Amino acid sequence: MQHDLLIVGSGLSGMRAAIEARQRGVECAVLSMVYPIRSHSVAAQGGINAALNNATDKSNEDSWEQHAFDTVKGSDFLADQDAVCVLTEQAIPRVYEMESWGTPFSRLASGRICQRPFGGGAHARTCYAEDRTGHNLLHTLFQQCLALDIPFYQEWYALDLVIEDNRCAGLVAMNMLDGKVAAIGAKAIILAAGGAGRVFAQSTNALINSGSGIAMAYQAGIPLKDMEFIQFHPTTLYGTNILITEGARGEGGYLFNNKGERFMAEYAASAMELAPRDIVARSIVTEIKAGRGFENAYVHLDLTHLGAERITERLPGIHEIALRFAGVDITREPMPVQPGQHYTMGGIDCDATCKTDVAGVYACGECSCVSVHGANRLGGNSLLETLVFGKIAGDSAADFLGTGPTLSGQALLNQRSKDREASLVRRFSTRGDVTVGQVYDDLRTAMFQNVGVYREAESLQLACDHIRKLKRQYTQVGLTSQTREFNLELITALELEGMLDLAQTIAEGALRRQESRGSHARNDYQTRDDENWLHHTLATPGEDGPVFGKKDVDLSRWEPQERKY
Amino acid sequence: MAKQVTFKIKRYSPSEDKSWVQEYTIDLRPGMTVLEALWNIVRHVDGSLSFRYSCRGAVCGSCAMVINQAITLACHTQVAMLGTDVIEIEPLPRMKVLKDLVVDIEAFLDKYKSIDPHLKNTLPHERELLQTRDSRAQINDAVKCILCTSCHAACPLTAVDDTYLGPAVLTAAQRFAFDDRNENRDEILKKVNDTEGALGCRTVSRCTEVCPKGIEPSIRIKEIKAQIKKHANEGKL
Ligand SMILES: Cc1cc2nc3c(=O)[nH]c(=O)nc-3n(C[C@H](O)[C@H](O)[C@H](O)COP(=O)(O)OP(=O)(O)OC[C@H]3O[C@@H](n4cnc5c(N)ncnc54)[C@H](O)[C@@H]3O)c2cc1C
Ligand code: FES
Repeated sequence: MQHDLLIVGSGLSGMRAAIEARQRGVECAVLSMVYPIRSHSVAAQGGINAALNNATDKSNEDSWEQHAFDTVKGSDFLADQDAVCVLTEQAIPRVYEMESWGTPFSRLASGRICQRPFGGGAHARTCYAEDRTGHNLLHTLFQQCLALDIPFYQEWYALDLVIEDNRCAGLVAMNMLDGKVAAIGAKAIILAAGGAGRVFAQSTNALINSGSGIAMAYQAGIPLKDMEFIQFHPTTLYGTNILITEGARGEGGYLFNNKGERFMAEYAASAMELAPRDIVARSIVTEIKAGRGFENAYVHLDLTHLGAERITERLPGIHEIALRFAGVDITREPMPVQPGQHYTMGGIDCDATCKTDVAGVYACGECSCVSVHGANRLGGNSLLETLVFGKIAGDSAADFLGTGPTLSGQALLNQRSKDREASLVRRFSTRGDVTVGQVYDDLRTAMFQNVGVYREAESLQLACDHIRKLKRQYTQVGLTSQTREFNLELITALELEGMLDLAQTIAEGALRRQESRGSHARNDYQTRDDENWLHHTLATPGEDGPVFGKKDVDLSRWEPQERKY
Repeated sequence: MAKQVTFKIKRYSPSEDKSWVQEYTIDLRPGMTVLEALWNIVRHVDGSLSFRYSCRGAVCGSCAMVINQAITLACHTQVAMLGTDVIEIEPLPRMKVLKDLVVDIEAFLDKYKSIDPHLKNTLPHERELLQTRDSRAQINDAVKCILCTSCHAACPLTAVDDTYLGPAVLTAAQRFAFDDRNENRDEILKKVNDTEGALGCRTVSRCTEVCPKGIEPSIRIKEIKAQIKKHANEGKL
C-alpha cells in the first residue's frame, strides 16, 4: 500500500485538505478510525466566524481586521498575529465556499446566512445552521469527497508516523476490523486527527478524541506547542458534560447562582454572559466554590425568557439534548450547567503553511498548533481553522509533491510495522493485575482535578508525579480479551499510551508556566507576565519525559495590552 | 449498594463464525446510558465486546442497535428509563453483522452514493447564494439525518428487496431535490423515479417510528412522489 499523500483524520480539516489536494491533481487517500461523518466535527453546534456583515448595519461594520484583533485579544496575545490574519481574511471565502458546496445555513429574511454574536467578538459574526453547524458542514464535505471519489481507509487506526532522515516515510496503521497491522508508504502525510479532550474527565469531546494523532507526532519526535493551554467550556450539561453551545448565551441566555443573581455582573460587567470562555468558566467555578452553586456542582443557565418559539427555532438541538439527557424542558425551566474540558489549544507545532519541521509532514485542525488560538480560543474560530488550514495543508502538500520527491524510508517503515506487530503480540500476553480501564479512569480524573480550570504548583506537582506512576503501571497493564477483531479494549490501551504522554506535556508545561494567561489560570501566579512568558512552549520527548523549549510569538500587528471585557 | 442490571448481548465472532448470547451484570449509575454501560463492560469486565461509538451525544450516528426489541441509539437511551432489570441488546436487523453489535454499512453507503448526493452549483463560489427561509424550511427535516441506518434496518422493504434504496437514502434525495440552490434537482428526481426508489415505498412508516431525529422519512418520500408527479404533469420528467 502506498500513496503520494495520506491524510490521517476525516473530520472537517482532513476532508477539506483532501478536497484541495485532489483538486490540485494529487493522488491521495484519507485514513480514519471512524467513518467520516462520525468524526467529532459533527458535534459542533454554535457556528463559524467570518466577517460577512450579514447581521450588522452600515454604521457598525465588521471587518476581517476586527475579527483578527478580537482573536488576538481573546488569545491573551499568545496567538501568532500573522497566522491570525490568514485565518480571519480567509474566513470569508471559506464560508462562502461551504455555502456554495451546499451547506444548509440558517437564513435571514434577506436570504443571506444568519450570524449571531459569540463571546469575545465585537460583532454578530458567527455564521450558523441552527445549533447543528458542525453536522451541516461535515456532511457537506463528505458529500463533496464522494463526488470527487476520494478513497477512504475507514475504521483504520493510525499507530506510528515513520520518519527517516527528517523525511516522511509513511504510516503504520491497524485495520480495526481484523486487527491486522499494515505499513502504508507515503511521500507526504497530513495529520488532521483532532483534539485530546479525553485526557480529562468531564469533557465535551467525542469518545474518540484521545489525541492519538498528537501523541503519534510527539512519539515520532515532532515538537508539541503550548499543550498547557486547555479550554474549559463554561456550560456543559451537568451529568453527561454534553456541550451547551455558547449560542445559548449568544441568543440571550442568563446565568444564575443559587441566590438568583446574574453573577456575571461581578466578573465582566459589560460583556456579562458573553465574556470569553475562560472568564465565564472561572466565574462559575468561583461561584460554586463560594457555596453559591446548586448541589455544590453547577449553576443555572436560563433561556425561558426567550420564549418557546425562539428556542425551538434557533436552538432545537439544545432543547432536545436537555430533554433527553437531563429531563429538563428549557422552554419552561433553567438547565444545570458546569464547566468541562472542551478544546485543545496546543498541538503539533507547525507554521501558517501547516508545515512541521519534518519534510512532507503537515498538520491542521485541532491536532495542530499554528497558533491562531494562543492561550484561549474564541468560540466559532475552530471550525473556521479546520477549513482555512485544511485547505492550506492540502495546498502545501501539493506544492511539496510538485517538487517531485520520491518514496523513501520504506525499509524502515516495514521494520516499524513488524515491531508494532511484535509489541501487540506482547501486549496480548501481558498478564498484569491492573486493567486498562483502571489506569484510563485514574488518569482522566487526576487531570481534571489537578490540571483544571484553576491550577497551582502543589496540585500540578501532584499531577506530574501521579502521571509518572501511572506510566509505570501502564507497562504492567494486561488485556482481558484475546481477540484482534474490533477490539475496543486494545484501542483504549493504545490510546491510553498516548494520553499518558500528552498528560505529561500538559501538566509539566502548566507547572513550568509561572503566570496566568488565557485558559491557564494559576492561583499562585495570578497575572500575565509578558516579560518572562510571552512565548510559546515547545515540548519534545526526552529520555525521562518531555524536554521543554520555547518559540517566539509573532507580534507584528498589535502591542500586547491588558485583556478586559 | 448500587442497583444492578443484567445485559443479555447477542454476540458474533467472525473468525469462528459463531453467534451466542452473553450475560453481563453491572452496577447502575444514575443517568447511565446504554453506551456507557457497554463501555463499562469493555473497560472492566470483558474487553472483547465490540460496538460502534463516537460522539455519545446522538449526533454522529454510530451507535444504532436494538435495545429491548426497539431500534434506537445506545447513547441517548438511559438504562433506568427502560424499566427492566434485564436488558436485551442485538445488532441492527437485516444488516450483515461484522462483529457483535458492529454491522456492515458499506452496501448502505453504496446506495447513498448512487443518488449522487451533493449540491451542484456552477456559479462562482466567491459569494453566497441567497436562499429564502421557506425554501430552507423544505429541507430542514432531511438535513438532520445522521445516517445512523436505523430506518434502513427497520424498513420491511429493504429487507426483501436488495435493490430498494430505502428511507435514509430517499431522505437524502428529498434534501437535494428540494434545495433550490441545487442545479441537479431534476436529475435526483429522475434517479429515484422508479420502484427501486421513491415509488417502491409502501408507506409502512416503520422508518418514521424508529428515526431518532424525528425526521419522518415516510413523509419525505411522499414529498418526493408528489414532486415527481408535478414534474411529470409539467412534462419535465
Ligand atoms: C461539542 C463541541 C462543540 C463545538 N462547537 C464548535 C462551534 O460551534 N464552533 C467552532 O468553531 N468550534 C466548535 N467546536 C470545536 C470544533 O468542533 C473542533 O475543534 C473541530 O471540529 C475539529 O476538527 P478536526 O477536523 O480538527 O478534528 P475532528 O473532527 O475531531 O476529526 C479527527 C479525525 O481524526 C481521526 N483520528 C483520530 N485519531 C486517529 C487515529 N489514531 N487513527 C486514525 N484516525 C484518527 C478521527 O477518526 C476523526 O476522523 C466544538 C467542539 C465540541 C467538543
Ligand atoms: S455515539 Fe454518536 S450517535 Fe451515539
